[in-house]
Amino acid sequence: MPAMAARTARSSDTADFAATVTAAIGGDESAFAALWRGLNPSLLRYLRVLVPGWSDDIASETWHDVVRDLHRFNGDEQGFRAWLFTIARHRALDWKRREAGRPATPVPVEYLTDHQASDDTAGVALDALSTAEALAFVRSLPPDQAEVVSLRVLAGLDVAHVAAVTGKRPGTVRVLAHRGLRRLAAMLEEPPR
Amino acid sequence: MNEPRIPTEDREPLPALDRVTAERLLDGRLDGGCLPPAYAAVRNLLQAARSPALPSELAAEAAAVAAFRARPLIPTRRPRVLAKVLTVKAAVVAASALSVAGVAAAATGSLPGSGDRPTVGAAAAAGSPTAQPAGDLDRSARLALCEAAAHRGGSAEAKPAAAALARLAGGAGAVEAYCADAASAAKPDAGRGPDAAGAAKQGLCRAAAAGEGAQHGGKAAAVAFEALAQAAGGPDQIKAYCAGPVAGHPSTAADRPGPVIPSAAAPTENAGDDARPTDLPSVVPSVVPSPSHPRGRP
Repeated sequence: MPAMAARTARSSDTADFAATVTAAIGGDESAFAALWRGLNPSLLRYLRVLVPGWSDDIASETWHDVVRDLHRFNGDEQGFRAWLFTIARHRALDWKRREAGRPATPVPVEYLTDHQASDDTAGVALDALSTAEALAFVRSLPPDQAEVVSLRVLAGLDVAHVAAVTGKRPGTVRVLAHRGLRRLAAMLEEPPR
Repeated sequence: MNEPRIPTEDREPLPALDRVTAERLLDGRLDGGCLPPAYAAVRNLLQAARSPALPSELAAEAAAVAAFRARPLIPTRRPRVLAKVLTVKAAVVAASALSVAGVAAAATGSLPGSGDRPTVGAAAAAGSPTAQPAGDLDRSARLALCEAAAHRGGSAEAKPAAAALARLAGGAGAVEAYCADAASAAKPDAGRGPDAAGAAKQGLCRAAAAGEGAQHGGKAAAVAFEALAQAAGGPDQIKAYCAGPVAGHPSTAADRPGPVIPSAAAPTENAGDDARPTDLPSVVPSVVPSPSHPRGRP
């Protein structure tokens, strides 16, 4: 079950999700696989925004922690997502601290938009925006905004859970997300030539 | 999704984005076409960002499941109780090494009139190197032991538990009373009836008597003595106290009719249930649930 479907039909999936988590805690491999399939794409995308180039490794570390502590989890789907992304976030921050000495090599969004420009107009390119390109746009936001937008959009967390994951106040989360959207709009409106 | 093309010239500053629209954009619940073009483009971007899973994003499933399969086995409730029993057994073995056999009962048993200080003896005993493991024998451990002995009936596995109980209670005949004592003490409102005190008193008196004979009874014997003195109302009252019958319990504990051990099992189960919510929040409100190392930090 793709994560996206789970997000749009959240309420009807609540019971299913609870049953799946319970089964996974009980050791059911197929239940764990279902959880993994539902959440790993979102997790990878979030990590691609936070730590491009290391998303696979950190996602793997994150799932390791999830497997280790799964028996302690007790909550609903949003709670599970919040838990998963909290682990991922701290893993990513750990990695950033370890790599603090190294120069960062972010993918500049201009690189992507330059390529888009080869297709007649920006509008054509935007209609066909790939997931990777969309993530590159999000990643080009200031870090606070990029993270909040990622958690809201990619992780599918509501404001309260994003606040819990990031340790920010809900009002701050709203403002950062709002600014992120405006900034994205500005970038999309005037793609650099 | 066919959206209006975005003209890139003559753009005015971005139109305002109201809060409701912003939240709906972020939630992915905006399907109407009433967005300003700039935000329609944002919506497309966010849709692309949350597109269905790509094959590359699911490629590691086998590895993830393999890691799940290889996880260390998690102790569940039943093994936790067994682990506790094993701890008790170890404690009992250590306690039996003491020269004064009845001291374990004294160190762990409740004393008449001191129901509000149930662990005073155990805590003091823990100060002695030889008696240290006896500090583990709190009420829940005693209940676990009683439960183990009861549940396993006459099986071979029950023997260590039964033997340990006999040593703790001061004799096989006192086991029932000992377990009843532990069970009643585990109930929050249960007053400390004289019945339940019987086994503890016998053990204490035996321990004190044994300690008298020795030149130095050791700290454990001293603990028994002190506890007994407290119960009797003073050190000089101990002999009279011990010479008297067990209060309100003229017959011996072993004569008491009816099985009492099964009743001890219920509080243990309840204690297990009560323990769960303390480490596991059952709901996850605005706070993230508690993985053991949520921050992944050292």
